[in-house]
Amino acid sequence: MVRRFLVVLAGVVLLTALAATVQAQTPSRNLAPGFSTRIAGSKLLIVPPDIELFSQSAGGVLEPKADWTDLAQRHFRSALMAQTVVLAGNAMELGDKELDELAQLNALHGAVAEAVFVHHMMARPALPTKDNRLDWTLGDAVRPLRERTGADYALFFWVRDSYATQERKVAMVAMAVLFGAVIPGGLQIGYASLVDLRDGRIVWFNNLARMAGDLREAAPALETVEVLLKSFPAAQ
Amino acid sequence: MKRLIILLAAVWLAGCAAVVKVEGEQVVRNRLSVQLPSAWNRIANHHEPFELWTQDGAALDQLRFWSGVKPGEALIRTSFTPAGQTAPRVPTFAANMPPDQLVSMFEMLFSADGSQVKTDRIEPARFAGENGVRFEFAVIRKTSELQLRGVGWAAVRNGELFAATFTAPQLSFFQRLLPKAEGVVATARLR
Amino acid sequence: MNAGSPSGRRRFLRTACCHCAAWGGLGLGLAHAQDAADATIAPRLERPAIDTDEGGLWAMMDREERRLRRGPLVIRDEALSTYLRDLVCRLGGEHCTDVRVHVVRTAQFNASMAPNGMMQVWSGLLLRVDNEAQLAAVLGHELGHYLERHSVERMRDLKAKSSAAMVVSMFGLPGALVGLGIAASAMGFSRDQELRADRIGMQLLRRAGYDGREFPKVWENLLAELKVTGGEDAGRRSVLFATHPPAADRRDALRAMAGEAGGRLGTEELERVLAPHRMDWLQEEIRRGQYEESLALLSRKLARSDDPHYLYARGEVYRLRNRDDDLPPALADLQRGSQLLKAPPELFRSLGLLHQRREDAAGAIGAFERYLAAAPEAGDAGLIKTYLKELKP
Repeated sequence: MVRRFLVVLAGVVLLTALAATVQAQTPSRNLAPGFSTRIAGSKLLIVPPDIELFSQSAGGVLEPKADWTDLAQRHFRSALMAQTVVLAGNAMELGDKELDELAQLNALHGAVAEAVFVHHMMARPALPTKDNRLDWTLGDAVRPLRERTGADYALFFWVRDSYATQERKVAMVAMAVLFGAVIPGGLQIGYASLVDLRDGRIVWFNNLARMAGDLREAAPALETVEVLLKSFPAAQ
Repeated sequence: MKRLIILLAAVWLAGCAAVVKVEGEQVVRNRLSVQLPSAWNRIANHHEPFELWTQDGAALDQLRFWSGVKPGEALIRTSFTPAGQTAPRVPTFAANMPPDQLVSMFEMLFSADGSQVKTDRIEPARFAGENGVRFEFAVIRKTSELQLRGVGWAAVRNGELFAATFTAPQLSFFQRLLPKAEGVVATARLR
Repeated sequence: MNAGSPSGRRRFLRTACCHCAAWGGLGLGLAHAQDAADATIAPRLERPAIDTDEGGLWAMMDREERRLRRGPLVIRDEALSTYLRDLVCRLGGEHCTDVRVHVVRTAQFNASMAPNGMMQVWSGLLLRVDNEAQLAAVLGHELGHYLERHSVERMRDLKAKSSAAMVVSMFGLPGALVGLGIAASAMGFSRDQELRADRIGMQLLRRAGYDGREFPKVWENLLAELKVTGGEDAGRRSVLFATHPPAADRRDALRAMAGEAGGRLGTEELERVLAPHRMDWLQEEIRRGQYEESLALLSRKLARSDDPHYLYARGEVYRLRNRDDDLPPALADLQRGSQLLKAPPELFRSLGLLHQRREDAAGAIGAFERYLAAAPEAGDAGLIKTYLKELKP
């Protein structure tokens, strides 16, 4: 089982390398066709970020860490509030309880975001009919959210982050020495997704997949947020 | 390090699905032809005995075709069976299946992964130029609790089954994409 | 039993304790029937410190519970929820204020308890237990794991519990890797933990006045169902890829703990609260298409009572399986059920379809017409009307 898991993670490492390449080549990959900036004076709704942090033991088992997740949520939020590009758009936050009431919409967004992540950002595999365009929409499913909040755009975040324990780092070195194999340590994966609440289109999307980043501390958390929000469209 | 990356690439790509664009006339397993007014994405290498097309990705919408299924053949592959166990039953076509039983097979098919399925409507209808059945159903995915809606068509000719299903999230997607799927299914013809 | 257990790095992931058809593979612990009288229940559990591994799991379970509560799979029935809450209180005393029971619509035998007090009971389990005592036995066993805060490494629900699976699925890698790589990890209880949970469950059960002999019956019934397809390894083929073989030993150990005859069964009480749901759950069981297992379950139910819903369900399963020798028993069940007072409309649909197959036009017409009279808004009315047209001369 551990071996299989390693194969899986090895694939992830490869993907990470590829992702970096892909992003560097096509900067407009993040934008839906015809979209470049948010409307001046528009309202932005920030949906509670879905963040979970894990510790990775020697055998690769991931263990959820509530204290880290808690810290991460707080640092993430602080970092977000420090982003003037975001806040300039008249930002407000959606409450957890309200999100619960829109559970099916949230589930739908999750599925769509995953499709965008896999088929557009990673293009592994790409969907030929999309023709390399960011062309996904939630359609009228977003209407209740717009009606409830009056917002013009909604910003979703999803982050899963794991950190290698000391044991794992030791195991990594041992594996490298014995087998010449590299097993990954911690991994940070996430996306940020901007939805136009007037027609449900995903108008901007960014993702990251890398072996760096630490959401448990304020400064590196700020860095993660900045990476995720790189090229986030201004309101003008 | 470089050798490792090449090795990893080989391992990983081996499992990667290939997706191609399909448009115009398409023939499923030499027996069922359809016309595509607009392009779809065909997912290959999924090792299942049906044709799988999608607009926005298989996690969202799926248009499936079965063609020339003979009695005794299953509609999906047997899932993982632990050693020493009898394999769980999979929906299998049998000779002389009446329309209601064809629909039962598809209920079994969509609930195989633990999802909840409920059929809302069954009525006689033409499919691929034959008398058959059309059914509407709802699916709640076990893993994500995402609610989907679905429509299916099935007909038997000369003891062989021909069928199609279209599923998509209930919120917005199904309504928006159903006309596209129906547009394809309406053109189905047996060869 | 402290709130702050050492968060050892080698600690396996503590997740919800889950029971599907399988028991942990225990040898015979020595069961002490005497223990029943000595049970001491721990004082109420404190929420663990956030920086412990258990705290981590609590928080994750809290999020999962919020999602569950709002989702489409949970069954919202005030009477059923109250009934289960009262049952948990009867078993667990003051702990019941920390426990929240959710009934989830899934056609398999399962109950689970998360460290944060979230208890899930699947509809497949409620369908299978014969009386309140059996249900209480299972809940008591789960409470046993909860009260003792057993550490368990388990991946029950890939989405919520396995970040690795999420990582993999995000990249669209073949599902098989996810299923095999993650779920196959050894996720059983230790022998000791299972034995302790059994013992505590039995203590709670008997202390609450139930008949202890019903506890081993739950597992007997389940094993019988699974042996139909699983042979001697029955119990492995479960939703969770449980790795432990079932142990008749455990059943024997429970029998030894069960004590004398007597004690509550609570058959009517359970029946009253489940009756409104039974038809839905039977339909879900039938839809699984695992005919042999369904027949084992339904035959057991019909051995105790002549309920027209079970007669419908078994008749329908025979009809769907459609082996050469299935026709007579299908007919027998459906005809007997059709004469009973509370025969559901679906029974007449099945009977009509069966008569149609037997080429008994008169029988088919009669049954179909009764079906449409009882359920004029049925979704398949269109199809049935077509059949009627074809049958009538």
